[in-house]
Amino acid sequence: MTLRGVDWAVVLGGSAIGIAILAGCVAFANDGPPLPQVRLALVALAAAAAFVLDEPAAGAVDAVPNTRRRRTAARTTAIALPLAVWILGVLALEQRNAVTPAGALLVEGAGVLAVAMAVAAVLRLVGRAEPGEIVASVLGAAMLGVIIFNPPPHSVPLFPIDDGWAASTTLWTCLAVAATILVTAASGDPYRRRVQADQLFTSGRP
Amino acid sequence: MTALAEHAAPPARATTLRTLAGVEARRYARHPLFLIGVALLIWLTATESYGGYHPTSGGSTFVPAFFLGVLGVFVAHGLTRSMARSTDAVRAAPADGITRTAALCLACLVPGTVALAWVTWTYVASSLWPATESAAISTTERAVVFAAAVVYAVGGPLVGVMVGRWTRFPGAGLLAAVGLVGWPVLATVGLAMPASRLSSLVRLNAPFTIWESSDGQGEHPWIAGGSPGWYLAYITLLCGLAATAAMLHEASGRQRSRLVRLLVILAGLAIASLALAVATDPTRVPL
Repeated sequence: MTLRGVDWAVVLGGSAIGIAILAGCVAFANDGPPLPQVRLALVALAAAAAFVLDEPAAGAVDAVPNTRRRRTAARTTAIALPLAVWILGVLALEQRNAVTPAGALLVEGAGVLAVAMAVAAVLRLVGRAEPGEIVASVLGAAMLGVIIFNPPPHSVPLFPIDDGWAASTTLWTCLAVAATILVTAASGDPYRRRVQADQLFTSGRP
Repeated sequence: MTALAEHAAPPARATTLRTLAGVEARRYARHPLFLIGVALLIWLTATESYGGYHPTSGGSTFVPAFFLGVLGVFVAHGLTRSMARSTDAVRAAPADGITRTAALCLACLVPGTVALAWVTWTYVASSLWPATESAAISTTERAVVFAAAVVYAVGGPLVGVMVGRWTRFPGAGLLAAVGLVGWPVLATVGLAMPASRLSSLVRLNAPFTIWESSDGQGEHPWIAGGSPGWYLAYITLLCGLAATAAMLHEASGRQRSRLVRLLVILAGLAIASLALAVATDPTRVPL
């Protein structure tokens, strides 16, 4: 039901850009996967994921008998599209060049998409009905910065190139789990929280 | 009465532009992303973290190019879109769309000023910690390579204004930033090709380039072929193209045809500058 509320133009557009970049990467993967370019595709896919929780009609939707948690669960299925693009892209890269660290890249992609959604969920919790634009911009800028500058600590690289894949996989697994918990926790209805708090307050009165 | 009449007179276009540019420049300078970019630029400059490049080598220009240019795409795009949202209110102001867009373009000089300060500091640093002098690159060419940092810092925000003016879909700013990063990344293919005019063209068509490279880790570095001067002219003309294209959105009638003519002239000059940058000897000179 609420999947109709997803801005499909953005999700499809971001996924299409991801497909285009990944296709280019697969074509030029003879001498090894071009990892910085592959990560540019991930930026586009993360941007698409950031828009999944946008609710332009939040004011009206909040009043219907459908909890925000249920709406979030329904909208989360839309993230399957950018995730599927990433999975197919990485598998195609591995098919083209066996050197590709496919497992680590798959975990990395899932982690990035989960983090994008978690940040969007937190912003929605604090009252921003359409967090997609700001999350896509900030997360995208941060990812571009990390891809270009590869900041320390180098023992646990966010986007490894040569080594550090095991540490990176552990990091992204932890981030993905934390992001999933955060999405669940941040998807409670503000109205329900207020009612529960009021009930707690009144029941505590003498 | 006379005083009233004088006050009622419409302000001159230049005065309006100056006032609006001042307002937009203050908005730009206070934008959190710009402030974060400047802070990171200062931090990386202070710690000399230039990704393996010597602080005084031209390769370090990628630091202001990213923190002022690429982040500037987001800043300028955000400022342009925020202006678009209040179009109805702004329409009552004594300034047309072109003047407002021109004011935004002038505000892009804010990151340019920061980049100029960075270039000046780097020159001071190069006198304190002399770089390896080499006949491969003259002092003038080195200065031109560094001056490009100012153009990178202005160019990114100008692209942000252009994209903000012409597009309405969400994520357009990010798409422009990814494009601005992806284009030079693709163009580095030119560094892997054997030295030729074709490899120079592949490398220099991008809005950012690196002149210093090597054949592999531990190999002796060299300066790539091509003319830094004509490349600087090329990217400056690209900035002019972005600003003109941004103003074209609001133009109509004679103003529009004048801007279209200017766009064509700038495009022609940009192509000619690129051709001259590529036409220079493509031989790679060891440092």
